Amino acid sequence: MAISKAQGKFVETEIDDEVVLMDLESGNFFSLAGTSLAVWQAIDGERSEDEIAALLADEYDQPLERILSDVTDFLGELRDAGLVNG
Amino acid sequence: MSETWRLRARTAEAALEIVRARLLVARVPFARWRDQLGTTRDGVSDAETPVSADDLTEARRLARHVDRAAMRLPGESKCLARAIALGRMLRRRAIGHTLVIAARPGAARGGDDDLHAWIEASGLILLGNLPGPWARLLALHSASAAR
Repeated sequence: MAISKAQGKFVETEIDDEVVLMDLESGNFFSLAGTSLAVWQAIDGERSEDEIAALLADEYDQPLERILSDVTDFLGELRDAGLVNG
Repeated sequence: MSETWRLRARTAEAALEIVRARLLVARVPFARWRDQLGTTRDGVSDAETPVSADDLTEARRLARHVDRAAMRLPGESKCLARAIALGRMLRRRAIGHTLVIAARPGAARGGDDDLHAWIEASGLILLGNLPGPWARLLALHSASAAR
């Protein structure tokens, strides 16, 4: 299933090597940097969780299983926050 | 009304708005009051919709009343509550302005003011002018009245 950002639910801004998100429902802020930022940037509405993990495994030259676990955990957090769908 | 009482009335108005804003921020979900602060207008900067010199002068005066009221109230009146209070006072007078919410870059973060809110009009910060850098997250605009 493709993962997509919940457009209209948040605003974001890039600061140096970081993206700061503001949840427009709760007013909560999220700071994304490093791997979490790479996952966020890989979410394009077309890639699935597995495809995002494969992309990052290739980019960081890491075993897919390890990356997939991190991606799954982080996407779970984003889903809980209502920032992504799928 | 004498000038003294007029000024006191404005400070009292500011104090009431600050108290209201503090309660709002503390107790009501952001989504329920966000739209009251203004509207987002992608690609349009505040400096492109200037207010008149008279309105700008009046807005600066009101900002000073908000700061004065905040200092006299018990407890801390944070930047967002002050900005909301001034925004409501400006809207009541149909003076165009923008409420900005911003974050400090990660490298400069770690203090109490990593997130900040301020009010600006015609590209000038009226209230909440803290040294930056800041990355703007959300800008909510309120238009001036047509004159």
